[in-house]
Amino acid sequence: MNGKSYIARSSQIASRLLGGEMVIMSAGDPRVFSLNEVATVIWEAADGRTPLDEIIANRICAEFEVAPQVALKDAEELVQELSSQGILLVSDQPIVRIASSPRETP
Amino acid sequence: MERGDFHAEWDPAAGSGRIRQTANPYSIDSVLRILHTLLLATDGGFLVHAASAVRNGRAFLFAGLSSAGKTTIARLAPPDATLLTDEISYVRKLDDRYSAYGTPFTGELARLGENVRAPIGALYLLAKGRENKIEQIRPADAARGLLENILFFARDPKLVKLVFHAACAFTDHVPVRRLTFFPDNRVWEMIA
Repeated sequence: MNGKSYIARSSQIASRLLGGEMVIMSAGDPRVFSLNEVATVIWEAADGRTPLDEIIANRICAEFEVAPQVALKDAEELVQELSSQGILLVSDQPIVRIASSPRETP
Repeated sequence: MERGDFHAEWDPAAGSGRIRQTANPYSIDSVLRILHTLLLATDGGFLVHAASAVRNGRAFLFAGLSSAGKTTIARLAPPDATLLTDEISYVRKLDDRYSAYGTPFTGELARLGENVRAPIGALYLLAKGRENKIEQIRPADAARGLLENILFFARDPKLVKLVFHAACAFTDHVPVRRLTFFPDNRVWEMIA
């Protein structure tokens, strides 16, 4: 994957924002994940239409004091981890199907 | 519901069902746990691996998996505490309020819970230590800790999502704390 990758939340998860942290449970395999503040911003921006490097530039670097290259590297590691757990989808093309709401999935 | 030792059917409209099982005391116990997990989930409740007891009109839950200390803390309960269970707590949501009920699900204590209910005052995630202390935890950790102790019997995504949101809603309404305790009855001085 690279900065031009598109990311989208899986529809097979349940998630809710609690105290600024995103708590996520994989529906097919009930394990619980929690994301810190920065990861939560990436998660919420994972609409399947916005490339990862745009998310980093427009959301992460705009809201947090971090260099773009560092932020992108960290984000790619996060995306790979969440993707390997099946809760985030990654593609070289825009992803049409997305979860209904980033803050509370039905 | 089908397992090697039982076949069970439930009619939600009639509120009744039938169980055919082998001659052992565990099948009916399993069917009740599965059935009530499904019934509670639709109304925001759940079964959770937790001891629970009523004191001063409020129920307190002590959650943890095997060896966490559920039976120990139930055994240490003072005479004025009414035991609901030392193994599986029954949490029901009614009108945005959560209550705990006595259950027949017993752990090592092998004592049935009293057939009473009470509004839940707090849920404690158990940890053993050298001293007694109650700590605040982040909301995400509260939800995670609770979810790790909730009984799941199905991989059905809809049910998993129902239980997930039930647990998150519970942590919004009920204090969830970490209780580190040394196994003697002084720990109950902190529970009231």
